[in-house]
Amino acid sequence: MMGTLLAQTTTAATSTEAPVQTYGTTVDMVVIVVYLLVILGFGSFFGRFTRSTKDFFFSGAKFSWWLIGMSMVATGVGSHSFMKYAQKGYEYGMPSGMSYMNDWFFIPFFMFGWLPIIYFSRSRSIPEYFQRRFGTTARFLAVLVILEYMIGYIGFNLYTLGTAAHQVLGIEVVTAIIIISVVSGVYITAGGQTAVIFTDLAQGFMLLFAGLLLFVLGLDALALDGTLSDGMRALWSNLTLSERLPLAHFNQPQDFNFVGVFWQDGVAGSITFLFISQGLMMRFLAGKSVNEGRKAILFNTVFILPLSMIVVGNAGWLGNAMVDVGMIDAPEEPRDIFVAVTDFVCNTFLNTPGMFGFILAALSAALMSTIDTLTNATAALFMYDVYQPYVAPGRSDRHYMRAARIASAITALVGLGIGLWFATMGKDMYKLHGTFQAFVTPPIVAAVFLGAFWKRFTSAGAVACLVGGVGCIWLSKAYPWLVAPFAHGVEPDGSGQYNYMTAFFGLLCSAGIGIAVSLFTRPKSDAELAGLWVGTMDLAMRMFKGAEPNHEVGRRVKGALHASEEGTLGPTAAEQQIEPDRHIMPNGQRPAVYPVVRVSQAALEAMRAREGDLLYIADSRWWLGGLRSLHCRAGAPHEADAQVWIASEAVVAGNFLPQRGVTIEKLL
Amino acid sequence: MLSTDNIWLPYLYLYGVGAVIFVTGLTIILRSGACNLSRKADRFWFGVLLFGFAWYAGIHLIWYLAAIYVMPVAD
Repeated sequence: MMGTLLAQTTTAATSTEAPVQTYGTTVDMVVIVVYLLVILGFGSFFGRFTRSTKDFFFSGAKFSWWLIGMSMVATGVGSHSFMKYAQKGYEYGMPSGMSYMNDWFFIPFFMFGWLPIIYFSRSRSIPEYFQRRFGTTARFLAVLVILEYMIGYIGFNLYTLGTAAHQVLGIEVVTAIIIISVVSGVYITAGGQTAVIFTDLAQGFMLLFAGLLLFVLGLDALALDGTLSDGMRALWSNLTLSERLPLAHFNQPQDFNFVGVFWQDGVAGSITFLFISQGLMMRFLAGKSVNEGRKAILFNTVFILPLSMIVVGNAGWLGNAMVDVGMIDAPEEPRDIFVAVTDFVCNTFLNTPGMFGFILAALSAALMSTIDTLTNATAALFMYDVYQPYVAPGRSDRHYMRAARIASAITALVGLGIGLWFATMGKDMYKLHGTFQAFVTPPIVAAVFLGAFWKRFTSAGAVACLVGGVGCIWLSKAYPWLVAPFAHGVEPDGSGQYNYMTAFFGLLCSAGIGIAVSLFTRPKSDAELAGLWVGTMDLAMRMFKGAEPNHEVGRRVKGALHASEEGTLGPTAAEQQIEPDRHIMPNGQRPAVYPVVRVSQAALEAMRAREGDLLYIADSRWWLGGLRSLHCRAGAPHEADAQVWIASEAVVAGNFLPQRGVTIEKLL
Repeated sequence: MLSTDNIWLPYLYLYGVGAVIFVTGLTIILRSGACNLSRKADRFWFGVLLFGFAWYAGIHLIWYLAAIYVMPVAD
């Protein structure tokens, strides 16, 4: 009985609302609740690996590429992605996915520019980079913009999922928002970045599997009694030529065209995603090295993004074909196509109780994995850019660790409050959030990009870029004809605005103002810019390591841990040893501190390492992804082969299990 | 001059403008020394960058050809 309560009608709490058609059953609800409880327990488990603020926000900077790359899947796919791209797929066919496949052009800037800059300069937040590159005014502006973006985006995501849950399951928007906020807030506060990465890994698999399962089942439904290839043929033959192509019409219609999506998403969106996303930046800083970050972005861009395009868009393509052959009725609103297709495939075609709930749990996974990243990133920004420098400077890490947990909990509560505010005030509020972002994103993108790649870009240029860019975008909203020369023939919308091309106009104006002002003002000295722009990467590596980098390519060696205080140093002792020389470098960077371990001469030779080089020791079980691992410096070699002499405190700091073997590799 | 209705115009624009951005990026990282081709690891990653560009250009091209020639439609 429970599994057959299809398309029931419930009435919303307030009598003034129209009845809402819902699809879910009690079994579906149970599936979703069980999923949320599993994620809550799984995420909270990682609290035991979090001992310092560096652990809480950057997981100790020790994870493998596949863990970083796979957890990025779930971060990049929000709950609204399924609804939005399914709708576009239903309306326009396969071009719906074009924004997932135009990121590669900026990857050289990221792999060899921005990633090494933030990693080697130990910048912990985008505003901290602004402080060191441009000064306090630019940092203040960046804090305002990025905080608003992240907290507003948490609220926006909660609101969209709450609306979907209300539409699908009939539960109140407010109830759905509170449940999701509490679940994600609890495990983030307990486990920090490590919990975020491991839950996002699980949720990434979950949403990829659910999306692909929906595609396969949909093709099976379209095939009638045939094979999957018959289903694919039915889908393909239903599409017109323009719906089959990977790219939309060049400049029509005004709300979905190739050139608009290219400049807004392929250019402004790509730089935003790669350069000013605090959450993504922290994910890369949780990697064990720059090379692991490069592998993660390669894996994500070449393999995962095209797969994600199919996962989020296929319901729209299927819906288009299903409506044409009369399997389902055309939804009144195109945005309802995801739910209509999922309902048909799970409840009518498959008729398996709980399957619909499984797909909706994947929707929750997409939401939670976006929210947990944003919450952790917002707390980091507050800690490193507000609390630590201005509210409570010079306190112990134990104090900051407690403050970080409180900041996470408060961020989750504020996000919840904004989600509820959006739900109460309706669409006007999140439109306001979208408008604010349209004004401030192009200038901050231009400032970061010029700062990282142009030595001559000055602090005055950065502030002028931020303020002048916002002014130009405001002018373009008041006088839309200013954008017309850049519009590539795209028509304005009903209110005379150029939705897509305003981003292009804003980027050009911001960069132009920043460059012009920089040419008439004095840049910082070479010493102040060391490691903060792309031309100083060798120097950045030297500052990161605290010695000359070793670029020789060696191999990994295996060994067994041997607790010894003879010639080794734990984290505390290493910290104390450099205390007399402690200073902040001219670029604002903190000095390198690593525990010291000793390996045999043979091991050093195999790794092509020398005394003083930066090593990485990890539990030999690769699938832990670096959960039990440590960065350290090579001490004087010893004569005992296959032994790693390590201070007891370092064994604890690396979460090592002494009876387990380890692998050692030279990083730098 | 290609008409804006030509189905190949988006492809040519994407990889024309995209190539300008991409080559600018390669030029900056090579000239700044951030990517040093005398190092084995940097040579590998430089090759990966070129592969990625070809990978996407190839996927999009094959997709276009499939759209036109696999079970052709008349619209």
